[in-house]
Amino acid sequence: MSSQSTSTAGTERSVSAVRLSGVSKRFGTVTANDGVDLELARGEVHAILGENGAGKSTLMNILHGSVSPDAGSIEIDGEPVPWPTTRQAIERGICMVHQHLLVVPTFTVAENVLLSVMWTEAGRRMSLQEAGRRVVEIGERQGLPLDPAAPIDDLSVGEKLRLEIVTSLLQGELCGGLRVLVLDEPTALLTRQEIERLFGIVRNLATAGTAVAIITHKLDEVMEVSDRVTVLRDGRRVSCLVTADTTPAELGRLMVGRETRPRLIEHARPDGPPVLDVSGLRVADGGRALIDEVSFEIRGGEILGVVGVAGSGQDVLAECVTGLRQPSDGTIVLNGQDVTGAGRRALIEATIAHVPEDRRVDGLVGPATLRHNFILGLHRRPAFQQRGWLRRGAIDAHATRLVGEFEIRTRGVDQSAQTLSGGNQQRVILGRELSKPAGLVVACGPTRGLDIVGTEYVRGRLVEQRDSGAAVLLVSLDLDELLALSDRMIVMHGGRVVGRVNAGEADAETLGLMMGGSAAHGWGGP
Amino acid sequence: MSVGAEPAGVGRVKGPPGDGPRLSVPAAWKRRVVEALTGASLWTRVVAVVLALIVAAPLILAAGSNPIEAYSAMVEGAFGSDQAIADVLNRADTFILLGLGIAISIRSGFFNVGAEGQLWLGALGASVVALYWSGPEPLVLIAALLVGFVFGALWSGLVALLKLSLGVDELISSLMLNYVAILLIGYLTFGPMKAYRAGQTERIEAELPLIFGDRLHAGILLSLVAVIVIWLLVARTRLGYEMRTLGSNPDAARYAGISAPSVIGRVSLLSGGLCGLAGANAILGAQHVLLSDFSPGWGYTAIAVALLGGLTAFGVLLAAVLFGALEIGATNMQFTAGVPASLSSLIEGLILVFFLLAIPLSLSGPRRWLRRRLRPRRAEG
Repeated sequence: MSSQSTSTAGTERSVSAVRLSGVSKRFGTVTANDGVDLELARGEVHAILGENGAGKSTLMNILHGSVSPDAGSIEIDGEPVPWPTTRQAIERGICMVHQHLLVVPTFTVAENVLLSVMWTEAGRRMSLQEAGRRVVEIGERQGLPLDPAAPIDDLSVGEKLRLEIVTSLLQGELCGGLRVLVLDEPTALLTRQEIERLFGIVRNLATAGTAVAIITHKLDEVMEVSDRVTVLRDGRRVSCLVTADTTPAELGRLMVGRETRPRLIEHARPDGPPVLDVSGLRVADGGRALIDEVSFEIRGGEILGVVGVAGSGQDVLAECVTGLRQPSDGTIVLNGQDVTGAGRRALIEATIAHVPEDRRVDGLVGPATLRHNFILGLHRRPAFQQRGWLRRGAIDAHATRLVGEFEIRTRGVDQSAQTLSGGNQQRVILGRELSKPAGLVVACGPTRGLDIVGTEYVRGRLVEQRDSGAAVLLVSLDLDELLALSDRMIVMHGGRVVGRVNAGEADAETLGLMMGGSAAHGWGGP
Repeated sequence: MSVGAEPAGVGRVKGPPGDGPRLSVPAAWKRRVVEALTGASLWTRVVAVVLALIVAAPLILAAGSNPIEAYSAMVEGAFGSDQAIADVLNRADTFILLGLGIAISIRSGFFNVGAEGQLWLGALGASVVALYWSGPEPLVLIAALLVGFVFGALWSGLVALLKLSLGVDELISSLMLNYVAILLIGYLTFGPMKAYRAGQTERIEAELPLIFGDRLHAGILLSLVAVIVIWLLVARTRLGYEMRTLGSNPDAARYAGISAPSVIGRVSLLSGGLCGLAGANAILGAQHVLLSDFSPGWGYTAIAVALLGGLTAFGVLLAAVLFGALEIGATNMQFTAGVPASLSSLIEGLILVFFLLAIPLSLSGPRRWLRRRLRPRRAEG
């Protein structure tokens, strides 16, 4: 917890390109950055490591001028300057490649470059021909070949990333050299070969004097490509280390930063037949596997937690299990019946209770009444409709009962769902889903954005389900929650299950390592 | 692959990934339109009508007439006699059937603006039956109405088919099919179905029965029945529930296991059928001949009716009577006060403009502003 082992070796070695001091930024009640210091030296590759929500992207957006900080200061080349706007940042050679690549899909490569680069050094308006010529020129020089006439739609993800890097290089060239290049989780969508090529380019840029900042939560990548690494946690800088002096284990512990919490609940080890048995699940998207070889089972009366950084495949897994997505391969067996490819409607009627991750988008019809929302997905049941006619009395009774049972603070069942607070909205969804005699509960980020009371309530309900014999699949990005609730955990990384951990055997360091894809681990116990 | 194509939520691929650029209106906009229209209050509508009348006044003045005289001539022209009222209701029934068809499709998130084409096709279907089948009149009438319904339904079903199979946006295809329908009837009335004069068919003998005086035909009863049926459908049936869910939140509908193609397919047939029925009703009740310029764009005016009616059955009924009264009143005003009848189109347009302008204000602006003023520090529950 208290290892503030800041290293200064890097700073003495080289010249500072950009230095941020005491940067703080709040969004409403959320503190994204809290007094963060960061120094990027010329010619270094600097990894910014942290879990989801640690404040990495916010910090980089502040540096790039697209987010303005509440406090803090910035020095460029050792000289204090006012916080730049995005345009000023680019003019000072600070460029950024965003996580969600900002390209116009119907434009060609050259047209997209022209969006970011309007003027030549001579102050003339950049023409399409000139933009294309310079793309080719930079490409040849840096080993980043691109066809300026190719439409973006025909490009692979790797090529789109290449385009963004070339655009940044061109922007840098036009203002006397690329000072800082920020890459926000550039490897998320790339294949291994593409990642290696990217890292080669990154090293070349650093050798040429650019400070490259790479945002990542993958420990392997930090070790592989960076000179120094800054670890962020909960918006604070935990540490800044020279990569060569640290280990993945230390980084994992710093990133996750907490010891295993004391158990809030008794953990179960039931031995009945599995309620859900998933084996060899694979979902392919083009040539890439979103998830691959995912196998696990959940028995009645236990909570299985799915651990992993965002985008490790846990969303896709939950979509397969709940029938929102068809797997390309593998089987899903529910209560002894093969339900692979059964479709959403069959599955939610086969008593899967599903608490979706995005409650406002997927779980509720905002403008509709609570009455409407309480039967969403249940509305085909004979209890609520007969030969196509809604049974209004039964629906009213159902809604009124759930409002009472789940202690929902509302003016009545005619109130629209969108006017409820987040916690009460989640209670509506829980009430609806748990009113099914559910054999399997799939809860995705069930406490995201809730306050303490709401969080405790939701967790209590999930444990109650488990204790009454349901199997619970808990998908969450909140490690505390997973540690507190899960009887067993599987750790996902890059679409695969890389670790299986029993409750009580998990410690933050191992989990951090596994989440970062640095270690495989099997279930210890029988 | 279209990574980077979506502005937000890229990390989360939902449903089948879209491939390539498409001419389509973002689902979120559609959702917001439905929400705004169904959420706006009656007062918003009244204010829009009053504002439209006020703003039109200087224009009447500029045209050389007294606005007060013009408006009273209009009211007189719409409600001053049994005949006038009959004419208003005969016009309103067309707007009711069209408005209902448009309302249920927009309510389901299917932005069908092809009512005009479906109206023409319905008129064609009814004319073909009534012209070429000389059975007993009641049977001819029923068959003509049914075939009108089916023609409209198929024309709209084509739009749904294009959307569901090829992903063509319904706004574009339904609009384009309007021109196809109009040109088709143009071809028929100048060609194969031509009577002694080009551009029209023979007189259609089968007529809807009169129910009052010598003008008011049974079409208004037909539309009132349609209002009740559609209200029941939307409010009380499982299909209506699924329509409302799909229109308000397609994502939640997917999570609830509602099949969008099935709902959109059924809604498009019903919607087009109602518009086709409007065409059949106009032919059999009022026009008694199929002209190459059968409709002056009622299918478009009816979009305004559906929107002003808040996409509800009874709202459409009221809005349709209002628009019917405006149009008939203006026609009579032209005779009595010398103000051009096109004033009614102007007022209709202004009503819609003010209504659409007022929606965001009534939904968020003043109300939220007032709420902030009245309860400055409301604790969040």
